[in-house]
Amino acid sequence: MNETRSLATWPRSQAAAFGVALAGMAAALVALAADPVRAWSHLLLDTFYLLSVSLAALLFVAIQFLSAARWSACLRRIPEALMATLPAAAVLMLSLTVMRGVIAPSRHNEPVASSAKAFYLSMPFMAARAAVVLGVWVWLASLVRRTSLVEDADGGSIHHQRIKRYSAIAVVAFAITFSIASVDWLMSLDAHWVSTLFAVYLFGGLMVHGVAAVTFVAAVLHSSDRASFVTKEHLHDLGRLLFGFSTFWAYLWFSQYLLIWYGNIPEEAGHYATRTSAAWLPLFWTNLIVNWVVPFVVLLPRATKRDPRVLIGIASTVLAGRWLDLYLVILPETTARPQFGLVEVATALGAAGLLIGFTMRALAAAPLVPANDPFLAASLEHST
Amino acid sequence: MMTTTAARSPWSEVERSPIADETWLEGELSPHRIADDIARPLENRPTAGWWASLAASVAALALGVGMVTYQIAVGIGVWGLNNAVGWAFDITNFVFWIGIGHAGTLISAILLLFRQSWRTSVNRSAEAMTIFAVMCAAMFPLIHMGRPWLAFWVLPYPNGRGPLWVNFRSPLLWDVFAINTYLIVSAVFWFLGMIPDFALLRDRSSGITRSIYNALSFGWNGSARTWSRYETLTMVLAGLATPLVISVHSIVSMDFATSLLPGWHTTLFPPYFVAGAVFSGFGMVTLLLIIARSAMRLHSYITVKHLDRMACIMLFTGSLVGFSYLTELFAAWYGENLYEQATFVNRLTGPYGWAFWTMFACNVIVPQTLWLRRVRRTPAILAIVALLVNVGMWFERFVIIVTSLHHAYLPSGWAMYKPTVVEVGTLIGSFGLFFTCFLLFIRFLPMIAIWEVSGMAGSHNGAAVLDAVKSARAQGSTVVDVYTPYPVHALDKALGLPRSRLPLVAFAAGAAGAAGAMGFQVWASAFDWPLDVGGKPLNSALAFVPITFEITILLAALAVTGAFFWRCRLFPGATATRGQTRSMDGFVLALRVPDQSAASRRRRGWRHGVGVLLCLAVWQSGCRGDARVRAYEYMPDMARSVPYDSFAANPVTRNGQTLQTPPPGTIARGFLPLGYQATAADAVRAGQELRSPIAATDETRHEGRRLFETFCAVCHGVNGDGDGPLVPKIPNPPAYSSTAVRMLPAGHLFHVITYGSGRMPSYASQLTREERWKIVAHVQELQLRGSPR
Repeated sequence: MNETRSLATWPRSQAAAFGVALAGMAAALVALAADPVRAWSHLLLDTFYLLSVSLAALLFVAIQFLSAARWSACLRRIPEALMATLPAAAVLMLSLTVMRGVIAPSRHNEPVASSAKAFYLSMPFMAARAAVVLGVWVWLASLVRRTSLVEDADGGSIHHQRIKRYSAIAVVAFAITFSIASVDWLMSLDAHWVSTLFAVYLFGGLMVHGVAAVTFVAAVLHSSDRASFVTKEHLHDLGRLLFGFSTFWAYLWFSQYLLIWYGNIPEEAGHYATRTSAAWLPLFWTNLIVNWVVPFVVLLPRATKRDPRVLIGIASTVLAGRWLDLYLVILPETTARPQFGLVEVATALGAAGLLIGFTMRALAAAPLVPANDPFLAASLEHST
Repeated sequence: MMTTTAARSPWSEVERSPIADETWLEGELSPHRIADDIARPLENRPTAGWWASLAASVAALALGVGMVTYQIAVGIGVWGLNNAVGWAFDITNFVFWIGIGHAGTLISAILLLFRQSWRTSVNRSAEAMTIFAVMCAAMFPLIHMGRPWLAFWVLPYPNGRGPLWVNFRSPLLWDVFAINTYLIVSAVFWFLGMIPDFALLRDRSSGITRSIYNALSFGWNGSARTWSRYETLTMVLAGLATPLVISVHSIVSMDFATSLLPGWHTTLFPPYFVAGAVFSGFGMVTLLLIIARSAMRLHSYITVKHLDRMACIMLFTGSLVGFSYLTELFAAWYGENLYEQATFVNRLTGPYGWAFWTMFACNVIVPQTLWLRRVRRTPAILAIVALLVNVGMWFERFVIIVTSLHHAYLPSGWAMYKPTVVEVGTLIGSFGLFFTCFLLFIRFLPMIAIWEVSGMAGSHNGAAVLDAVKSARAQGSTVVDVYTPYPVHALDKALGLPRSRLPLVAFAAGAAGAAGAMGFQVWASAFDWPLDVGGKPLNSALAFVPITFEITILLAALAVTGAFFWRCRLFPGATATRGQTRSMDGFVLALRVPDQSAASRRRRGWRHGVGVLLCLAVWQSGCRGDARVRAYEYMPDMARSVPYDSFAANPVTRNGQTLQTPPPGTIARGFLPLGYQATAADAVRAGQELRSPIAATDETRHEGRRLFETFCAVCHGVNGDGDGPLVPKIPNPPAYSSTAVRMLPAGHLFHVITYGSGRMPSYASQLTREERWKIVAHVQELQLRGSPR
């Protein structure tokens, strides 16, 4: 047990990560001045990316508690650490929402017909909703984290029950707030398009995002001597979850695409007409390949799900694929054709720096093993 | 099945917390006691309660059979459907029953993958309910066809109509593949789970019952090798069944979502329907199990904790359903589509608003009571909640289907729908079928998986077995096999059994199925007989995915199950071979196994021979040496024409012929009579009455000249002087420039060409009217040329 407490706090790595983050921020500010639409779109993409992974981590913990899962108890600190980026991402998202009123990034500029909808999509109301939604998320994440740390100190099962209650609230609150947020931040970029599956589709992406991130960190820790409690059994289960959730995402991707293609209604089909036009088509199919075909084929055999190197590779692929998926959700609404240049790289690296920095900091701030978790023994002995 | 092994990690000093230990069964239950308890209803006479319930169910079933017979005999007009509301009770019931079926697969497959050990008490009955529910559901698409006896036309078989392939792009056809795959795979899963129990019942019974159970148990003997493959097979099937259950109800939802109807065309339908299906399925399973556990005194097995878990799943899926309602309402407002908004306003406040609010109350409000632990753990209250959930989910499908159809785009197309007695009777009949099947199930088959529950209760025996194996090996004996009544964790490793290759079989068959299904659909739809359906591209890969998916799952499941049976030498009628005893509630280590392989191979060969002979007989009956003699035709389709052949005899007509002479005055299609006779007087009259209808352009003049030189110049000469090459053989036609002909008007000339004149025959059959007028134009030019004779 003492081994985990002395886990190095990686000060140099953290500094490097935050340094990259700061550089990315600076570059983003410059880009905002130079090409505001493109820079804003990418800041939105990367901020949503950060929110996606931290919310997914919160959900991971919540689902673990609600389903009384034993196998993942010893891994709990990993998703808790991934939640740490949430406050920074929340501040960023709020600023972007306010900036949107000024920049007007969307290419679809026909005014909406109904005044109620115009009011709904007006900047002050959008910013107010964003503030509430982000506030709820930050509050829930901090509740769960604080109680988890208190459990380390106090012991007993009361904290476990408390987190279970917070998990129930979190799941319900997440469903409502995430749906509102998806519509507000992403679907409204084309104010004349609506898809009832949109929020669920983004939710599917969010879940696979969280599992990929947890898998990545777990596989890295497994390879390190200081976290020997992460066994191949845990990796196997994480691999299964990654396999399953990437297929779930593909199911949602396919459902939305098939139904809109089949109906071929002009008001709806424009969304896919853009994305399957010559400029975007290669990225459209690459999205499916990276986010589903590759994880499906590689993770189908039993052996690969237990191999930490394969899992790191596939998790990284999925993490990159998540960026591409969000790219295809956002950028066709703000730019005419895909571009890849300094703006993209700088903002992405900045966001990655933030994520890695905050995660490492949170991992170092608490013992890696939640010593008083009631399911800890079962988790450590887990065999599958 | 998940027992803890000795701690292998340095964390062994971590204590187990009390809340980590969950026992799911109540009381001290040994495997022997479990077998007794669960087999009791099978081995004893049924109770009066059972008979009464069966009588009621059979009565309802009889009503249904009567109604369906009447409806098929008389026609779908006996239903209340009309032009606007073309789907109502029929499809509502279809979707309702398919939804009910989802709980079984979820409990069996998904909860297995998530290692929820509480499923072992409820999975058998839930799987049975799935089969019965899918049977009830499949009935409705069959009877809602106008001619159900032609239902086999939905299958893509090489027929005598082209072959005319089915419309692979239609979700109604995807349903055919999805429902059939679901029925087959669920039945396989259910039956497979019962084989070890059949073996146990075989060993407890005697006489004819024993031979029945023996046939059903396929020679199961509890060998560790078989158990090891069995567990792999179950995992593979669970992995296949999970996407299957999601795909089936998604495909059912696409029956609606692919249309353009407001209230139907919405992308949320697939996951919303799946959540609703699980919700309604759990409602039915919970309700029936609460009743069954009381009636059959199974409280120790289906405990309050089990009911709690099922209630939690209902709460979760019910919340998803409620959330979907809110999403649809929001999207209707946000989308600014007038028709969508009108549909939802009508749904909430229109003539069927009562149905909507019933649905809302039952599906959204009532399940929220499940947040309360008290409600989840009191069976009586939970049963009422479950019943209301079922009512609400029936109304949900009714609301979706009928309220959207009755109030669609055009006000002229609005209509009310009222179910007839026949439809209500058919619905009652479907419940009758379901409950009859379920009552027979609990009477004749073990409603709880004995081996799974025993495995949970007897998990401590596993360590003893492993020790026995280790000590036998330590003493130098070879442990050939171990016979256990339930699978023992880590026994396969202790015996050194290799990992099974069954997953490879599943993968290979699935991949072949995927390639074959996609390839066939592309070939049939884009190459063999391309038909433009709804403007969809011929090679609609997106639309071919659902069927491809279903065939992948089906072939993978059938192949892996078949491979399992073949590999373990299990088949109907095989004799179980094991150690000294034939009882399934003991553990036997086999240190020597007699050589049975030759005898079983001989026996198997005999059965193979019969199978081959049967196939040959069937094939031969379709072939005859003499091609003039018609052999037995299996699928004559339309090769024998039902209507009368044109030149065949006809018993109906007066003259005994099919082809009749047209009545006098009949004119050919597109023909208009001129109204002249072939006389000189009429020629003059035509000259006075007819005018050329064509314009005098260069083109018509050119064409006229060409036609003249083709048809007329041979007698009349190129210049119309009556000196064509035929002339020495026939007397001269008059020159056009002669006094007689020169002044003839166009109409007269037209008449001459049409009816002939003197020796000149009619040219009407060689020249269209337009062509004749063009020639007339040219002739009039020739009239003006040349000098009079």
